[in-house]
Formats: sequence, C-alpha cells, structure tokens
Amino acid sequence: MNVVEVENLSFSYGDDINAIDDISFKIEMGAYTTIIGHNGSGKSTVAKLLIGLLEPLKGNIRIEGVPLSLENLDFIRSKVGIVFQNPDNQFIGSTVRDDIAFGLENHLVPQKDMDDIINKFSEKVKMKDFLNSEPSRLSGGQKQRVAIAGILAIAPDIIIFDEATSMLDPQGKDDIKSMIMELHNESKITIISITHDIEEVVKSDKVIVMNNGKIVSEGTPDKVMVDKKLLIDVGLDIPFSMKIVEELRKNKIKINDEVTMEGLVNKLANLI
Amino acid sequence: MSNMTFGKYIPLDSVIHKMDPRSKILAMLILIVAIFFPSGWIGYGVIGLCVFIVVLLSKLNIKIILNAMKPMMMMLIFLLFINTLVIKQGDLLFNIYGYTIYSEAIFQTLYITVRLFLMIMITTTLTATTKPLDLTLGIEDLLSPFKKIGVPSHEIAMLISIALRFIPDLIEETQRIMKAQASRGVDLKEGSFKEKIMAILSLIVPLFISALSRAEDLANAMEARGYSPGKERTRYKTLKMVFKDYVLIASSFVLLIAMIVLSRIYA
Amino acid sequence: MPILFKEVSHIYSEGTPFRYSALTGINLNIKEGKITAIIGATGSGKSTLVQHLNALLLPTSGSVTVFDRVITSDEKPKNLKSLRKDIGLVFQFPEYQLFEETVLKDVEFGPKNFNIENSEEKAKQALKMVDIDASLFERSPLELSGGQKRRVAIAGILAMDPKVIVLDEPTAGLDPSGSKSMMKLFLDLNKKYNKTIIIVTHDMEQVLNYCDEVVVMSEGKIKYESEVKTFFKDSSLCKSLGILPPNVIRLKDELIEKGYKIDDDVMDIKSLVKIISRQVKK
Repeated sequence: MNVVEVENLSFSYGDDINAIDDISFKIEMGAYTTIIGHNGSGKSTVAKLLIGLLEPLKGNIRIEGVPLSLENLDFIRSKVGIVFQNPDNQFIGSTVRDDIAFGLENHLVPQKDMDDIINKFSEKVKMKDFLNSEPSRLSGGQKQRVAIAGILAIAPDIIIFDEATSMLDPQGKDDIKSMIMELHNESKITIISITHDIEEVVKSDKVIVMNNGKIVSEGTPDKVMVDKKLLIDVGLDIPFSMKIVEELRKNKIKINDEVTMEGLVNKLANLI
Repeated sequence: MSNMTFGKYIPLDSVIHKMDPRSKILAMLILIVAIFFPSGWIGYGVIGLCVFIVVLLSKLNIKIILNAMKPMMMMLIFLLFINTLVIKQGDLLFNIYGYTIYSEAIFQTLYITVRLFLMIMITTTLTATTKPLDLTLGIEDLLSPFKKIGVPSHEIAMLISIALRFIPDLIEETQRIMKAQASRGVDLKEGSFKEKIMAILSLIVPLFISALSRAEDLANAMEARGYSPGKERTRYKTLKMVFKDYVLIASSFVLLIAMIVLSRIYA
Repeated sequence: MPILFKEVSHIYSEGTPFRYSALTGINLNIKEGKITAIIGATGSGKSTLVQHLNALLLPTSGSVTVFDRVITSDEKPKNLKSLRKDIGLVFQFPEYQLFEETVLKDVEFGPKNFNIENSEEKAKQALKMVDIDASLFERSPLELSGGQKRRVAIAGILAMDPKVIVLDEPTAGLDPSGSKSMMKLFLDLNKKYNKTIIIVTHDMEQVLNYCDEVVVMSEGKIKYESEVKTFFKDSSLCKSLGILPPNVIRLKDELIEKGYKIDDDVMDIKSLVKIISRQVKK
C-alpha cells in the first residue's frame, strides 16, 4: 500500500522559477526512503509540502489515501511527524517532559494518559534520565532525540527527517542514524529522510534524487548511487566504494558495482 | 551570561518553590500595590521584613537579589543627581560652589530606592522560585475569567513561555555575533560617533535577521506538531491550590490593608 | 613560530556556581604556513581554544604568543586591535554576521575598521578569491544563496589580509560539492597566498585530504598532536581516541584483515588501489 502519493506537484516561493516543478512519486508503507540533492534543489520544500506547512501551486498530495487539504490538516499532522534540521528551534517546552507533552496537548491526548506516554517514549530514545532537563543543558543530538520522542508520542505512521543530522557532531549523527535504522527495523513506521549522507542513503530502501525542483532519478540505492555522471552533474558525492570500483577498473580489475563498504570488502576478499 | 540573575529560575527544594504559581503571582501583585501606598518607613519596614522571611523560606541566596539590583544602580545615581537639582527643601546639607544638596533630595531618592528594591525583591523571588512554564500556566489561569471579554489568555501565556524559553538562546546568539564582529575590528568602546553607530548596526541587523529565521523555524515546528492558535488543547499540567496558598494570598491582603491604614496615618 | 600556547588554562564564570574549566594546561605550537586541523568532540574546548588566538578570550593563566605579542590574563584591550587584523577568525555559520546593504560594503567593513588603505580594492580581491562574481557586488548579501553568503562572509575576513586564518567548522551545513569547493579554497589560500590556516572540523576525510597537522582535544586538554600522515598511519590510535578513521584507512584495515598486505603509509585511493590490483588474482 502506498502511504504517500504525490501527483504533479508544483510550488513557487514567489514569481520566480518553480522551487518544485511538476513532481510525482509514491512511497510504500514501512519503506525507508532517502531524498538527496544539493542545497536549494527543493528537498526541504517537498518536506514542508508533505506536512502542509506550504500550500502547493498545483498538484495533489495524499497521505494514506486522504487528500491533504485545510480540512484534513489535523488528521495529516497526526499521521506525519517531522524532525527539522536545527535542534534548537524546534524545542518548544522548557524541559524535555514539557516538550514531549506539547504535541500530546495539541492532539487532545487526555491528561491521565500523558505521563505513561512521556515515560515510554523518553525511554525509547534514551532520554528518560533527562526528563526535567532544560534544552540549554542538552547536546544537539539529545535535542533531536527529544524531537523524535515528541513525534513517536503521537503515534504517527510516517516520520520525515529534514536534514536532521546535518548540524550534529559525529556522535550525535551516529545516534540519530542508528535510531532511524532501529525505527525502520522494529516498527511499521514509514521513514522519509532528506540527507547529504551517502552512508545513510546506501542503507535505505529507495532513493529519490532531486535537482532544480525536479526528480532526476529514483530507485534502489544500488541502482541509483552507481550512476557517477548523474551524481556529479547534480553536485553530489559518489559513494566511497564506487570511487574504489572506478579506480580498480582503471587498473583493469573486473569488479561489479558496489555501494557499501562491507560489500566491497567481501568482493575484494574473494579476489585474493 | 551567568551573572544575569534577574528573572532566572533557580531550582531549589523549598516550600515557596512548591507553592501554586497563581497564589505567588497574586501575592506579588497585591504586595506591589501595597508598596505604592506611602506608608512611611514603618510600613516599608514591615513589608521588607515579610518579604525577607519569604526569601529565607525559599532558600534563595540574598546575593542573587542584590545582583538583580545592579542594573538599576546607574538609574538610581542619575535620579539622585536630578533630585539634588530639583528638590530644594529640608535642611541644607552641602554647598559646593553654589551646588546645593538638601536633605529632602537625599530622603526622596532613598525612598524611591527602597520601593524599587522591595519590588525587585518580590519579583525576583517569584521568578526564581517558579518554573517559567508554571508561571505561564498561572498567568493563563488567572487570565481565563477574562476570556469571555475577548482576552486571549492561552495565547498570551504561550507568548510569554516561548519568550522565556528563547531568552538564553538569544543572549548566546548576541554574544556570538559580538565576537564575530569584534574579529572584524568592531570596537564598541572606542571610535567616533559614526563608527559606534556602525558597530551597533553590525550587531543589531544580524541579530534581527537570525531572530526572524528562528521565529520562522519555530512557527513551522509548532504547526507541524499540531499547534494552532485558538484550537482546543488538552493540558498536561493543572494547578491545584492548597491551604498554604490561601494563607499566602490572605497574608498579602492583610499587609495591603495595613499599608492603606498606615498611609492614612502618615498623611 | 607564529603561535605558541604555554600552560594556558581558561575558566568560565570563575567565582560563581556556574564555574566551568574549559581549557587546562594547554601547550601547543602551531606551525607557520601549514594547515592545522583541530578535532575533538563537542565541548572538548576547541572553540574556546581558537578564541584565544585573536584574544576574544584571554587565558585565565598561562600565555599565548602570537607572532611578537604575548597575551596573558591582564592584557589591555587597546593592544588587541592589530592582533585581530593579523588573525582572521571565521566563526561557525559566518553568514549570520552579514549586515551591510551591499556585498562589497560588507566585505569592506573589516578593512575599514582596521584603517587599511584601498579597502575597496582589498574587498574586490577577496571576493575574487572566494569566487564571487563582480555582478553580485552591488546586490544585498541577504539575497544570495546559503553557500554564496558564506563565501562573502569569509571574504570579509580575507579582505583584512590576515596572516593566519582560523575557521570554526567552515563546511557545516553545506552540501558535498559546496564543502569540497570550500576546502579547495582554503588549500589555495595556503598554497598560493601562503596563509597559515587553522580549521576546527569533525570531518576526518577533510583532515586526511587537506590538512598537514592535527591536534586532538578532549575535555579541555590536548590528547594528541602530530602530522596528519603520522596520525592516520596506525588506525588503532584513532580508535583509542574515539575517532572513526577516514574511509581509505578503514578499507585498508578491513583488507589487511582479509589477507591483503598493505604498507602503513598508504593513505590515498590511487596508491591503495594500485597495491590491491597487484595482489588480486587476475
């Protein structure tokens, strides 16, 4: 079943050229999709459109079959959660506890259920010991974990990560990436991650490549991420293992395309 | 940043910390009104003593309150200067080359200082013993009777709580931009008037731009999490008054009445 | 010897309950004409350290020698201005410091503050270095794209013609191609214009590919310092410091485990692949 269906979507920030130019795509339930593209390619605009923060110029968005419209906005936002790039600017409560409660209050969760939900999901993101902490005492990675807990607390079906790791240090990045993987493996939650991280892309089920507001390629990472010309043309990096494969071929070694480091090591281990 | 004590919550375990924010806010308002009555030195002595007892009960370090007074010092010195120029009553204390200082000028300044000190002491005690969120919850509840006449009590409370939440962030941002511009040779202390204007612009413009982009991010985050002004919400925390809260409010009232009586006698 | 730290400690909010010791007993010698990377986890003291370089922060104890100036805790602010011209410090997300009406005026702001002659000429040169086209000079800096804004902000520092350029996470938030061209710019500044460069970064690929020297910080102390080549020679060193080595080094390690024979000093793709190719069964 497709939980996200986007048809002929266009959007423009002013009279300028279209930030999103007639794109269509579908996302299956439970899939882990990454969206890549250089800065200004329209990735974040797509995320904002999906959650109804921007109104499309043309086209349709359906979430679980329900068209995104003003009347359905509350329903859509109970099904789709988003983690933004800047950890500081999405922490609304004055403590971790209050921040998780904020979403619950908005979605009319009864007061008597709140403590249990807050405890459960702060535990899930390993922030239970920090429930009474203020945001200024937390690291960027910890704040993003609280953001994830706040979303999980309203039991959504889809979570969008809008460059959620790009402002974090390596430790924070690893934390959030492994949390995304865990959510993907253990639950039916559909994940859409906008990212520049090639290592993350190759672990996803499907990748969508954007350039100048259009989708220029989409498919499984082992098909898309081996297209060196395309990636370079749209200003992206090619996976490290593909750089090695390229170089090996220059040295007349026959080897198949490979997008992960583990895969490459295994292939080379068989060659010796 | 750490010497900014005014308005900061200081987490301690005390009876005052545990009280209902509504009773604390009401007590604060009543006491501030009380201070406005010219009840003489005896009256201020009584209020001062009561507030001092509350501060002791709240386990706050008195230094914190004195620190909160610091930003007012310049203002008070200026006031003293103006008073010495304007007020020419009472005994002549000094005459330095025709610049005369009368006792009434000193007395009036002292009077205002004491009032101001008491007010700061009361508000600092309130903010230091009450979490920002509880404070806003209290304000919301106290304002809710006025909802019927169109006062958006919830929105006002949300506004205050967000402002409080972002004050530390904005202070940090200001320091960062100041340092960045100092690295480009900005010197707020020296330089001509024109250079100083530029220096201030180089701070204000980036701060304004960053605050705007922060506000946009925040609005997006709140909306994405299902918030919409005016929409019905449930509440995580509800407030409950107990006996000691009523005692606090009642004692404040007693103080207020005492001050009114004293001011009559004094007059 | 342009920059020398001697027993430098820095304590924030001394004498208050918020007292925090950010640097302890730092001894460091930053070499002239090199690109030095400063790495370490968040809160390890990197930012505090670099702010000592142009005396935005003064050491609580110890001294920092920058060229001929010795900075100690009792330094008078008056003497610092010329130091700030010599050490160009670029903060994280420098695009947030733009404020002038036009790109050119903004870049001129620094040189004018330091009373540098021909500030307009200097500004134009700096903008050329960072690859900003002359057609953008009269535009408002706020209209530019994120990457362009950052370049303009960096030009604002370059126009002061500093001898040393210090950059705090200069590629944070940029896309891969933006990061790459930014790093190439710093390499150029180092090689063509002979600037000493100090970069605070989390990216080990950048350390390996662009830097000469590396300083590892942890909990306010220097845990390790050496040439980059020495640092990555033995990946167990990286791991013991809690750092994930760059891809090439990780691949090398994995292959050695699988039976390949690869020398310690192989640390670029071309030489690594050459060695693999020789050992692969054709």
